[in-house]
Formats: sequence, structure tokens, C-alpha cells
Amino acid sequence: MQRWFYMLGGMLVWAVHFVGVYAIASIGDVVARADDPTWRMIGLGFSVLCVLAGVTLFFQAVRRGRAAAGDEVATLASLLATAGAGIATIAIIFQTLPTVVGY
Amino acid sequence: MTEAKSETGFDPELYKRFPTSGERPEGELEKLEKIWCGPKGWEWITVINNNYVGVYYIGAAMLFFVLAGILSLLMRTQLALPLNGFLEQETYNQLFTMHGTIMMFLFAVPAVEALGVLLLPQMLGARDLPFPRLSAYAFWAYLIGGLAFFCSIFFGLAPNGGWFMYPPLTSMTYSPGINADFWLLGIGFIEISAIAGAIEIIVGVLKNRAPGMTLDKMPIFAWGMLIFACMIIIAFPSVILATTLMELERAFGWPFFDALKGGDPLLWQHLFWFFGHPEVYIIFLPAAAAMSTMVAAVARTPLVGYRLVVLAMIATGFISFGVWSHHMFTTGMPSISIGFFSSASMAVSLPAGIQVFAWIATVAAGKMRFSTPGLFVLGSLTVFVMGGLTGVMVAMVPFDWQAHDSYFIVAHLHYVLIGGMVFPFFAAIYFWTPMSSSRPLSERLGKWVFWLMFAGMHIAFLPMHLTGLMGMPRRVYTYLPDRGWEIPNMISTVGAFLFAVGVLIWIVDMIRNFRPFGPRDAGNVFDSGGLEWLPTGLYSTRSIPIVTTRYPLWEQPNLARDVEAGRYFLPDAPTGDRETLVTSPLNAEPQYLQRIPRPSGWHVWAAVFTAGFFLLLTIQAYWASAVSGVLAVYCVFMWGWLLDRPRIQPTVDIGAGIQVPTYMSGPRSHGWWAMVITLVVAGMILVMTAFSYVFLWSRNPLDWIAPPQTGLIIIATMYAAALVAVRASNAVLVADRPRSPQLATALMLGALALAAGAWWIDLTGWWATGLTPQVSGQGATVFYFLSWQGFFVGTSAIMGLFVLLRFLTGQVEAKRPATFELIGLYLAYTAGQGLISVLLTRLFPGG
Repeated sequence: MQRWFYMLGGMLVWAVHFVGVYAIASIGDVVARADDPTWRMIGLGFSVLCVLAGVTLFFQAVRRGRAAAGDEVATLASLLATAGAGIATIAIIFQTLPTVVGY
Repeated sequence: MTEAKSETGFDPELYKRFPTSGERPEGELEKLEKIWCGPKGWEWITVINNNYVGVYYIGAAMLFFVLAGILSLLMRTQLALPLNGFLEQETYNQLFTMHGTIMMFLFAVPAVEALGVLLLPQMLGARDLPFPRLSAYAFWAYLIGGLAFFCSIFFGLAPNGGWFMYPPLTSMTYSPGINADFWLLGIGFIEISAIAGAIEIIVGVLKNRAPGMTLDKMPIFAWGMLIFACMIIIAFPSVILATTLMELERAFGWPFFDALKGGDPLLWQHLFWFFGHPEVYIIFLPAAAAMSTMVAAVARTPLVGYRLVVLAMIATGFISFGVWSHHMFTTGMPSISIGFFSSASMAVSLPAGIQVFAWIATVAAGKMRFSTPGLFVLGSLTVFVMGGLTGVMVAMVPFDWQAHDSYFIVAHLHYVLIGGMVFPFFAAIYFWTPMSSSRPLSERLGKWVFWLMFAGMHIAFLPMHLTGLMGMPRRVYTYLPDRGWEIPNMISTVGAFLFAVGVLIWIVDMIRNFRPFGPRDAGNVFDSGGLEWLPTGLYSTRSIPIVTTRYPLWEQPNLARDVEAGRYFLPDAPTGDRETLVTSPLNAEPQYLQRIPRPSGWHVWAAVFTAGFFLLLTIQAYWASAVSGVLAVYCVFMWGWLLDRPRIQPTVDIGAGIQVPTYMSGPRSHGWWAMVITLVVAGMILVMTAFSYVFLWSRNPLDWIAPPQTGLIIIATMYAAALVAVRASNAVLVADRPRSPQLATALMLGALALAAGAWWIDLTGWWATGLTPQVSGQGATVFYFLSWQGFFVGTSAIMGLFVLLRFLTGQVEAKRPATFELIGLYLAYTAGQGLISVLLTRLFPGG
């Protein structure tokens, strides 16, 4: 399972981020308003944490990818992990925009 | 390519012993043929071999495609002219509901699942998928349930609330007949069959690949099917929960969706679309993976960007779960939340785009053959891209507000679904029929089929963009003249009939192809590189090859010859039974030999009685339904009784002197994986129930009452003790002491008693508060938690009986712990689920 989590790490961070920002906005909507500044800032803070996690995974996967030369499954895993973390980070930044603009 | 490091301790050097040399013993092939013999008489029903079940499955899916297509022709005839009287309004409502429902639930998902059942064993180099009876059960349940569901239309009992059945329209107040119940119970039942198929596919792809077929060399179609099946496991529980809640509301007045009593109709939309939107990608991904396989073959070059395509499919699978609310942009959700869904909806087009560019690059890099599959591949590309572009349009909230529930959406979804699934599926039929029936379909007729369908599709659906933008709403049975909608509607009707002519010619071609006489020697018609084109019998390949490349038939010389000569793994049947090789999930290293069951009638009867249970429930024949349910449980009981047979010998030679065990339990066994996946399904239902609970609380937090003030600690302790007892029972059995079977069985039954007791205390505690399921949204969800847990306690009790009977017949033993372990897993899950439920309902929101 460790290898699978490594391969899917970026996408899992994206999923956690999506559920998180949706949940934060929904809780905000119950407590105050969904676009209440306090809850938006909580959402923004959560997004920043997720971006950091995505970037960390990305660089870790790059490093492990270099070390994986010679093992085709490890190479595939690292490529999936690297590209997945990259795509996830971009998608998280994209999905953070509604918190900052257009709410 | 470089080798992978060992995953299981298996020495890859052993692969160098293959292909073996010398002649194989006489009679070996005859023995295989005898063991894997075809059906006769009644056995055509009880058959479980994927070569048969896969064909049945595809045939049934295409039958439903044609039936739903006929319904669409009736609708298009009605809409050809304004104020047309061809259909009555109520009939029209039933037709569009049935058309959408059948296409999505009875055609699209089963069709791609069927393709997997038919192709995967050969593609992966397995003798069969690991649970062939489960596939057969899934098929019969689907066919019986589907046909009964379809027949409701002949009695005016077909559902009429649209394929997404929104409340309050479908509540008892506005839909008092049993039409909606047919949908709710029928679809819930059919989804169980889809989940059964998904379990089979996940375990098959991960555990039954030919040795050497690492993840990096796995056929792209297998990747697509793996992601597809994982998505089913995550998404489908949501619709099962939704349909159950709705039926509970309709039958017993539990107000999940009744705003007057603390429910909320929007809960249905959340639950339905959490399933409904991933559903689009669920049917698209395997079709796209089939495209990636075919495009390489018809362009005669390896797929460009294999690894990126894999990544794109995984990313699509993930992101598709973040877009469900884009169907709800007009429901008044907070704009910030809408923004999250809108951005995810746009983002999902990126991985889809990667696949499209990979196909275009492959076509450009190779030498395209414009055969019928090639035409369907290119047609699919065009149609899907057009549908995708309008998808990006409706992902933008302001545009969606304009286009919502108009014919623009009808056009968009048909472009996506026909381009993303129907055309690839027809390409697949033309591509792989020669493999299945050993006869190619007619190229001449095939080109007619393609061009009629391609032209008909555009003529039918392109004008719908305009009718939608001109304001024509969906789901109207007629319209007034002089609104500018007459001409585009007439054109759409002509297109629909043109499309139907194409399908009719295809039917003629299929009948011609499956005729019971004439030569059958098609061979590898399209010169494809996959293992499925190796010479095969009912036992799949004569021997199971070692795979060293992604396109073994292109890049491994003499493979077909050596496989056919029995020079690879498992050239015979060492246990004298049906069997296949189980390999490790990452590197596909041989682990053990799985004995596959032979056909029996239990799974067919189980499907018949399960269908009977649901259908009789629909027509409110409760006693008959209960009897049918008991019989279904009995059949499943007997089915399970025949599993976990005694070991014949501890290890066997699977070729070139390599020895593997014939029995496995624990995380390396296929049964363990299947149970874990089943429990993930249950866990997803729990998660979605928890979502429903919190969601309904958020609607009316002030109306919620305090939970019972006592009992929490004792209930939690009992569930925790049940977990410990399960763990201890497994440990005691494996210790293999003289009294291990008695003690292990007693501990297992003790765990069951603890879980049942905890559930009972929880239930009575809530009753004592005066809260009832009918009184409020809180009551409904709390008692749903309790009912769901009660269901698990009940099934655990049946399993407890199973364990007891196995103990009494001397079948609980350390050498054969698989069944015992799996029941332990189930019971442990039951206790864990009970613990989570009680903590949530008693601590949140508290009181």
C-alpha cells in the first residue's frame, strides 16, 4: 500500500483539499456566511498548507525518481507521483482562487 | 526497458528458464480441454467461463441499448412537430425517464463492465478472472432485474420522474403510484450487480496478471478498467444510499427529503450527483482506455505517452469526484462553494485533453488504417472533443444559469456520452469480435454503420444546441408553433432515425457474424500487440507467458508459437482442476495457484431470488418478498459452502520446476482483497450517511434534540471488545493448538454477541428519548444509522452460523484459515462501523 500512496499522493492531497475547502465554506455558511472573511481566511490557510504539501511531494518524488533509475516500476511510480503532485498543486492553486476572488 | 526489483522475494532469474525446451507430455492439452469444457444443455445457464459470460453480458447490454434507442425514436417522433399527439404526456414522461435510466444504468456501465469480463483474462494472460461465479451472478442479477424493470413500461408502471428522480416530485405526495418505487428498488438492485463486477475486475487486474507484466507493462485497457472499478466502489454506494433513503421515505415516511420535517430535497441532489457525475467518467475511462488500445493497433505504433495517459486517467478519476455540484449551480448554493465546483469542472478537462492529444499524436506517429474500428476511433475523437468543449462552457456558472435544463444540455451530454462511450464501444465491438467469435465483422457493412451513425448523431444533436439556446426546455412532451423550434426539431428527428438505421445494419452484421456455421479462423485481424490475440481455447492461452514488453505480440518474437507449445507457465492442470496463477500487484511475480470453482447452479438461483426479493418488494408483496430473500440467502450460503476446499497438495510445479503453494490466506490472497473492497463499499455508505446526517443538521440545527445521556461508554466498550475478540480468534486459530478450533470459534461468536448487544443497547437508548424515524430529519438519519448497523449485525449473525456449521463439520482448522479470517474481517468492520456511528450520533451535535 505504501507504493500506492506514494503514487497517488498528489491526487490524495488534491482530494483532501477539495473536501476541506468545501467543508470549511459549508461550516462557515452555517455559523455565519460562506464568504465571511474569517472563514475565507481559514479556507485560504488550509489551501496554503495543501499547496505546501503538494510542492513537498513533488520535490520528494523528483528526488526518488532520480534514485529509481534501473527499476521500471519505481520509475513509473515516481513519474506518476511527480506529475500527479504537479497537477494537484496547480489544481489546488486554481481552486483557491474562488476563496480570494469571485466569491 | 529495465527490470523491476523483486516485490515478493521471487527471483526474476527464474524467468530465464522460459520458454522451456522439449516436447510436452501427451494428453496434456486434452486434459486442459476436458477441465475447461464448454457447456451443454442446462449448463448454458450455469456457465461461469468468461468467454461465455462476457458475451452474454455484452449481448444483454446491447439489447438494452437498442430498447432505450427505440424509446428515443418514439420521443423524437413526438417532438418532430409542434402540438403533436403521437404520445400522451404521461407516456412521454415515462419514456424519457426510461430512456435515460436504461442508457445510463442498464447499458453504459454494464457494457464496459462486460467488455472487461470478456477481454481482461485473455489480455492479462489469466485463465479466468478470480471470481467467475461472482461475474455470472452479477450478469444474471442485472439481466433479470433489467428486464423486469423494462417491462414496467408495458403496464404503465414505469418511473416518470426523470432519470435523476428529484424529490419532491418523486415523493409520495406527487408520485403516489409504484412507478417511482420501480426505479428506486430496481436501480438499487442493479447497482449491487455493478459493484460485484467491479470487485471482480479490481482483484483480477491486480492479482491475475501474467508473470512479468509489471504495472509499467500493463495493457492500458487494464489500467482503465482498474480505475473504472475503483470509481464504482467509491461512487455507487452513494446512489445505493440515496435510493434506500428515498424508498424509506416513500414506504415508511422517514422524512430525509421533506423540508417540512427537517429533511431537505437538496440532500438527494448531493447524494445522487456524487454518484451521477463520476458516472460519466466511469463509463468514459474504460472506453477511452479501449480507444488507447485500438488507436495503437490501427495506427500500427505504440501509444504515445503511455505513462502520461495512465496519469491522466488517474487524475480524471480523482477530479471527477469534485464536480458533482456543477449539476446544482441553480439551486442557490453559496457562490464560493459554486466556485470550487466550477474550477474543478474546468480542471477535469485537462487530463481528458492529455488523452486526446496522446491519441492524435499516436495517429500522427503511425500509419493509420481506416478500417471500421479506425473510423469509429476517429469519429469518437471528433464527437467527444465537441462535447468536451460545450462541457467547459457549462462549467462556467453564468453560462450554466442560461443553459440549465435546456436542450443545450441534452446536446452536450449526448455528444459526451456518444463520443466518449458509444462510438468507442462500437469500435471495440468491431475490433475485438474477431477475437471472440473468430470471425471478423463485415468491413463493408461496418463502414455503412459508422457513416450512418456519425452523420445521424450530428444531424440529431447539433441542432439541439440551437433549440436549447432558443429557449426550449428539456423534458417537455410538446411545444407551441411559431417559436422557431419546428425546423431544428424536425432535423433532429431525421438524424435520430438515420442513427437508428446504422444500428439496424449493425444488428444484421452481428447476427451474420454469430451464425452457427461457416469458417472460424479470423486470427489477429488488426495485427494488434496484446496478449488477447494469442491463440486461445476455453482455458484461455495454452500456457501463461512471461511478459517483457507492453506489446508482447509485436516485440517478443515467437511468443505465440511457444505459448501454444506449452513452453511457459501452467502448461497443464497440476491439481486436476480449473486454476489460474495469482501474481503480486506491482511486479506480477508468481505467488500461488488459485483453484477456480466449476459451474454450479447456486449463483444463478441466488440471482433469481435476489431479483425476486426486490421486485416483489416493489409490488408490495411483502411475504413473498421475504421468502425470496430467505431463499437468496440460502443460495449464497451454499455457494460459500463450496469455497475454501481442502488442500490437495501444499505446492505444485507451475512449469520449469518452479513450485508455488495451492492455498493462500491473509493479505496475499485474492479473497482477502475482495472482502476489503466489499468493506470499502460499506464504508462509503457509512461516510455518505454521515454526510447526510451532518447536512440535515446544518439545515435545522435548532430543531435537533439531545442524544441519550447514558450508554455511550458501555456501547463503545462493547464494540471495542468485539474488535479485540475477533483479533484474538484469528490469532488462536493460527496458533494451531489442539483446542484452537473450539476456542477460535467461541471467540468469534463472542465477538458477534458483543456487537449485537452494543447495537441493541444503542437502539433502545434512542427509542427511550422519544425520537422516532418519522418525526424529523434527525430521527430519520439516526434510525438509518441504526438500521444499517442492524443489517450488518444480521449478516454477521448469518456468518456466525456459517462459522459454527464449519466448526461442527470439522472445517475450522489452522491449515485452512481463509474463510475464518474473512468472516473475522467482516465482523471487525461491523464493530468498527458501530463504534463510529455511536460516537457520531451521540457526540455530534451533542446536547
